[in-house]
Amino acid sequence: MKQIAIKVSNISVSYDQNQVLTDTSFSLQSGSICGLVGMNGSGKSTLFKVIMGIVEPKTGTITVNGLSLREAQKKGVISYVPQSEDIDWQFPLTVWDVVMMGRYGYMNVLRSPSSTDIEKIKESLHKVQMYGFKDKQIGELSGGQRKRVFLARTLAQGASIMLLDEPFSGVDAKTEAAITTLLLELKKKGATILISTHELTSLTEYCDHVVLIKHTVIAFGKTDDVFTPENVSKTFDGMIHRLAFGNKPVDIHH
Amino acid sequence: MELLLAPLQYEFMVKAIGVSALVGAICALLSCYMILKGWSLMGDAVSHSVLPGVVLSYIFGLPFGIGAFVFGLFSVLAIGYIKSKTRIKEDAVIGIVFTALFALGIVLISKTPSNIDLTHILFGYVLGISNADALQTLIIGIVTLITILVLRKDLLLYSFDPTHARAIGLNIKALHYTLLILLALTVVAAIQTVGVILVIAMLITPGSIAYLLTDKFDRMLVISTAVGVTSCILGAYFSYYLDISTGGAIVVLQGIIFIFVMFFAPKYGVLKRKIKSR
Repeated sequence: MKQIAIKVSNISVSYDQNQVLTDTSFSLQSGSICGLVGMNGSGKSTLFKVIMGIVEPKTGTITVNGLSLREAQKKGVISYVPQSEDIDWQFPLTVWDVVMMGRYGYMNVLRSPSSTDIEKIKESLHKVQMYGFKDKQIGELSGGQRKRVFLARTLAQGASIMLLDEPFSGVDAKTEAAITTLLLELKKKGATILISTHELTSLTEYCDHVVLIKHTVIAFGKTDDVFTPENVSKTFDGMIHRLAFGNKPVDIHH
Repeated sequence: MELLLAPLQYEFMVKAIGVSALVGAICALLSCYMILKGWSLMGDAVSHSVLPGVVLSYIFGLPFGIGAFVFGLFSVLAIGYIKSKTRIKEDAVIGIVFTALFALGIVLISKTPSNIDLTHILFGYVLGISNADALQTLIIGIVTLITILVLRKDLLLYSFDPTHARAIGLNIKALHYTLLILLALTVVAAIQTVGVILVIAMLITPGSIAYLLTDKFDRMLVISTAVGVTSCILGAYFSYYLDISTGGAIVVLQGIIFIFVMFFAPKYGVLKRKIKSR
């Protein structure tokens, strides 16, 4: 039987007078890739921040592998790939430095790397084919390469739960394919992956579960059951993405 | 050579140069974080806000550092509180808080029948620093120096990607306040050397110079410190020979180095970029 990796229970968040999330609940099993889908301003990124512990919810709890969020984070079981817009690419850091940050949790107070740490960093960089760029300043990389560096950081951390914030925005087709392959491989090894996205076209190819969000959970479940034109229409205020359903008959009134 | 060593015969010069070099080092280290985190204005706020604290310390006969530290931190908390409770934007809030506190300091000085010399607080007076003040600066300086060096990687990660820092179990609130406390302590330590007005230069310029010269953070710390320490020692020297303000001399030197680096830095210099864009 599969273990529950992330359990989101009755989360509510409000900024000033704006209720951003209301009574949001869902849970993910290990060995699964789940798409978190919603419009801009749907509370999607707020939910991400709650799961990362950056935003305190007004009510509700997050449990990770049966532990409280803080305990789980101290064990380093959750990793995170940020949106490109959230990163200052002019920072004086090389590719190597960034991937090294994935290992800080394993190091002593001074964060001096052991030989295991170095090995893991090398291995992760090779895995995303970025080893040759290890001494480059991060701002000198292309959009796809930047994503791959942060993916390598996640791999170096070796977390069983991964959160990816818009991993496919500003990425070329080749990198998108490479990332997808890597994620599917990780899933096979038992990883739990939550991907926030508003690109629906290829979602069905790699997500086995979907959470549709519009200030609360519109629908949650297996992609085949839940990712219907009807639900997507509800999530996106009636605008059905034709591309997403190009191959299926679009029939809302079945 | 003899002429160069002449100032070192005087105990006050040795003391002044030693204190300046230490202050130069901690300001320079911290400046790397200030400019990367975008906290330059915060540094300006803290440094101006310590003035009433310094004056009150004199009135109550406490070491000046205590009052300065309290008011430095108070300004930061006040800025945070006002920002979260009103619709005023952060830059305006910072401007309101630090000018109000600075003005309070001026008012207090004008009403204090004592021999506080306003110019010494505003612009520093390291050549005349007392043994007690030098010791105070030394203790604060060493504590700050060790803290920054031990936490340098955690503080860098916190500045770069706080969400990841949090994800691997670091206490980012603690890191945030550590950085603020370090800022307040550094300002306190620098008051005697360059004064509350010019300390902001020491908290921005060395880091900016280093940022134009390297893409590696550890190297940035080294370059920044080298610039900070060198300019402080030379500044103290020049101020002795030319009979000019020490703080002024230090900051002018840093300004000159910045202009030079801005144009001639090998990768990010204006000239190099011009050649590249052709």
